[in-house]
Amino acid sequence: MSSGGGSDPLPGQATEPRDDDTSPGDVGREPDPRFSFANERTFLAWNRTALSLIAAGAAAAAFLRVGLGGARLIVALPLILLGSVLSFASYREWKHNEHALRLDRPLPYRTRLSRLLGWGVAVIAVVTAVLAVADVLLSGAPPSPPAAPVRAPR
Amino acid sequence: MSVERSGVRVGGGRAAERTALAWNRSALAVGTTGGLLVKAGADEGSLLTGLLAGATLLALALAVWLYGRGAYRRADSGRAGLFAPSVAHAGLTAISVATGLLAAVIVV
Repeated sequence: MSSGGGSDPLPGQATEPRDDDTSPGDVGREPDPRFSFANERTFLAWNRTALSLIAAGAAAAAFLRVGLGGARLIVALPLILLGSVLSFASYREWKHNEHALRLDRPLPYRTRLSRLLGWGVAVIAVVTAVLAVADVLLSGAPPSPPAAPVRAPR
Repeated sequence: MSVERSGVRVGGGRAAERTALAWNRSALAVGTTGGLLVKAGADEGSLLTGLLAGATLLALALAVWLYGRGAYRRADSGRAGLFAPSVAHAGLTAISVATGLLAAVIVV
């Protein structure tokens, strides 16, 4: 694992990550376990968010009943795709953060994941709202709620 | 599983417990998604695919739960784990991405 031409690091000295394929355990030194655990929990939280999006997509496909052909897929597939991308991105983020922790560097301030999630959910919400309105307009008035029982006057 | 920082010995402590609970929740999320895929498969006319995906995800949920439980015990006793964290994290990511692909196949 030695780079050509470079000198080997002294014991305890932080080493540079060479590329994204480097395992976090191969660089730097063991960080404070509390920071590692916090980084791990953040990854797990993002991963659960990704799984929730995938589950929401599957639920939309299973339970959404609309008259417009293909509307279910327009809602379900982007949710599933966004969840899959978010899951992969969260792993890369965890790796980047672990590298930074092990090299005693400030954590990279990235908002890519939040931005991706925010914009993704916003776009899907707008598309879903447009589809819902179009479905109501094209299929007539929405079903009225059941009327309250009328008591006969005594 | 502890380091010396500023003369204070820091252990995993409650942080390890919180992390184990986070793994627990992740296992529940994987299992729930598996159940949902069974339902989606049944509704979309691909019950067999849904059942296979659901059973696989339920088994993987058990594996994720066991890993999280083991990680907490390891943190307490200072033993090395069955997998390196990077392998476990890559595995969970692979499970999520594969779940997404399966869901897309079932839905389409």
